[in-house]
Amino acid sequence: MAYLQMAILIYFFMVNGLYLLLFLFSCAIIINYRLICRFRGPSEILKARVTPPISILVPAYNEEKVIVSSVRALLELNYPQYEIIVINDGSKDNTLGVLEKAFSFRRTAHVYHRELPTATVKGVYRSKVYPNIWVLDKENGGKADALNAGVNFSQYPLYCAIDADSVLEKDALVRVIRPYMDRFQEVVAVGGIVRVANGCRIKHGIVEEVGLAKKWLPNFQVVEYLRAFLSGRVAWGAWNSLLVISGAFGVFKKQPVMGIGGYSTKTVGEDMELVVRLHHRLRRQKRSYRIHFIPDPVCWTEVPHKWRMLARQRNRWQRGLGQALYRNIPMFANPKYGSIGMLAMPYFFLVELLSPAVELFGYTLFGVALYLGVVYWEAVATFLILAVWMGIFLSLLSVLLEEFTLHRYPRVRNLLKLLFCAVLENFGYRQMTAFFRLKGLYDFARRENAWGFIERKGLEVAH
Amino acid sequence: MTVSNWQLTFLTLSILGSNILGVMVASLVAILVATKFTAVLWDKYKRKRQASLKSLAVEFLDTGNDEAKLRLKNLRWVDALIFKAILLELAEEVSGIEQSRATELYEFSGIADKEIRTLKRSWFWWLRATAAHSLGEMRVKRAKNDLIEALGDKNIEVRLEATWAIGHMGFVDALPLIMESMSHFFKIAALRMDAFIFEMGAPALPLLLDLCKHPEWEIQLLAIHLVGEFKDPGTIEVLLPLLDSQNLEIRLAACKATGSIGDPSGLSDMVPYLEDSAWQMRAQAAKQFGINHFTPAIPGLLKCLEDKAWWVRLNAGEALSRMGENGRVALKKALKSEDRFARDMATQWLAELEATT
Repeated sequence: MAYLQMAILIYFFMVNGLYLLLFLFSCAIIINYRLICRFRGPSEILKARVTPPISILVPAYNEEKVIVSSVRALLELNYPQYEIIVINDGSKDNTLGVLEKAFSFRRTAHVYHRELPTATVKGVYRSKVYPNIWVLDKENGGKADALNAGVNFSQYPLYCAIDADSVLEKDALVRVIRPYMDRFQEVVAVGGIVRVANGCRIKHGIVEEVGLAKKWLPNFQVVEYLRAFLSGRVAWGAWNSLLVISGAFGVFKKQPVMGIGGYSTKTVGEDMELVVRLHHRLRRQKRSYRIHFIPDPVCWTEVPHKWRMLARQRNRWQRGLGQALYRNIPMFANPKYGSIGMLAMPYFFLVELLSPAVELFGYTLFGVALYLGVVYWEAVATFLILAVWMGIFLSLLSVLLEEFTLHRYPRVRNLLKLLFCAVLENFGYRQMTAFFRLKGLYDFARRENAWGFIERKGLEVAH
Repeated sequence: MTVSNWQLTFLTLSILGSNILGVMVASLVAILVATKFTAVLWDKYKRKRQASLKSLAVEFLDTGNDEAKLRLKNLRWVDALIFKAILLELAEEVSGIEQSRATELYEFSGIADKEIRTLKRSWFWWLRATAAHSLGEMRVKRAKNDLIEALGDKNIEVRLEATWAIGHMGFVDALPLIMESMSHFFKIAALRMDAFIFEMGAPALPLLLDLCKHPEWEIQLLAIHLVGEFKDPGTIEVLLPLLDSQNLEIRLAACKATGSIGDPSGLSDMVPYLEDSAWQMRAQAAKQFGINHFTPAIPGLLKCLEDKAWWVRLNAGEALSRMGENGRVALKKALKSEDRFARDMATQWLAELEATT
């Protein structure tokens, strides 16, 4: 029992030590990035003739509630040249109908060039009012298949994959394009910070006022997103070892994605799987490349507001993580793949994939040990207090980093609420998400591949 | 170690860790409160000082009143910081005599010297970059050599700001040095140089044309792009031989530049490139003919509709759809083509034409 306790303690210190290390690196990177932003305003990129055009891909399956406001928001983007391609992935609701009504689409004779294999495209529509909006109406094939269809159809060298329920900031593309402006030849993908839209005032697809939700559950996720994006992804991005670019927002170079056969339709975490496979292929080919992450809040998304939906989402994410790691297992601890093989893959396996199992095993073990009377209850209690303090400390660091650098929650009331959430999430929320992820791990082992439906309120009413 | 010993160690470690973390959490909250409080105080002070300093600066810019100028000498560092921001803001809005007075004030208040020192010696790149930008904005011409030196800075932002400052002050002779320092960052360099290359005007063109023949391909690429931006038909003679360069990037850039100049003789010389061995070149040429509505390229574009590369077919179809009635007739002709791909593309673009007219 003592050895097991020791192992758990070592794991605890290792994981939290890594979190702290990632945070410190991220801190330096974010500060540096904010300083760079002082010298490169969006207006310069907007005026420049060398700014590459972007195709925005919006896969939509039963998104009649949110699709119109999402597309409207996309029309408001500050960017010199872009096209919007909505891929209606065989929706059973009236997604196509609401789009037709809002943007007056007409069917075109446009040739669909099927370079990546996809389900049948039934029709191509173009807006009569906004010629840069297209709709691909296709048979259902899943999100990855819809994205592949969008990649096939897009006419520009870069594409931006977003979720239909996401709202982009007005300057999102201008900000995310910066790494491409620096090194167009090398950069193959760029991700940005995704923020929680629940509680924000959104009108006509634009975030008018940033705020927090009335319910606690979305607010816990605000803190969680801050922690994940401001520390983890920023640091991994700087080491060119970023394994995931959120499906809610990412800009990719089309050619390398086509070169690896596009998105995989056999996984539920197509966003992560694509990025891991890009690393895998490009490193194997010994290509000089970069996958960047910009520490700028560029995209707002609705998060689950019910436990049931959160459970499904986390389950899917965990399965996606497992699948992405499993499919690219040759990179694991393989020095040929550099920092990906030796750092990122082991980290994601030991920390992100296994942590819910270890955490819940730890709780059970301490419970059993207490029941059997083989440990002092004082030892267990103080260790739990330590774990809670650590959780609070890491969450607070992220909230403070956000406050000092990005400052997206200007109201003191919101800041106090976030600080309170950073404390409160350690009592129940974290344990519940660990449980959902453990279930996801179990389902991954059982090769369960269902997507899991998540009910949306619609961004303009998401509280 | 016995079980109880281990548990005692475990207990001690946990208590120690908890205490340390507790103190750290409390410190974080204290830092947050202190920062918020300081920010409020700084804001108040800044607003108060801004009003008086700005009125003195504006008085001097408008009238050249030496009394106002004298009161702006030997400012405390906090006030100098606020005053610098005011001057930079004003410099963007004024021109002519007011502009020279702003520069005079910048020099007189000692800020220019400080900025030059910062540009040369500071350890922090953002301070060096800010200094370079300010010197350019305030048109401190005596800082030319320091700015040229800054083109070799290890930080790209400092180089970019120095580039802008040199360009903004119109030092055409520094162009080759700028190009050499920026060549590895094509897009960002082109973006920054687009902003001032027109201010430099005609004197910059001969230098750029020379750089189009530079041995380093990245410098060539940047020069070709900038020459294209001038849209001077006289530059075609330099660009056309580059269409046959060994480097595909150079060829594509030359094709694009020739297209953006839009001179008919240059475009005529580009027609054979619709049959180039590289599909990218065929696609780019087709695109440029479309942009320029260059009808003599129609027979070549019709052939391109049967090209094996989809992008070439797409660009050729689009180009024809932009060529008015002649293009429409050509697309209708392609409907009878034996090639299925050509027929598909013609159908697509004819439908587009129909929908838009």
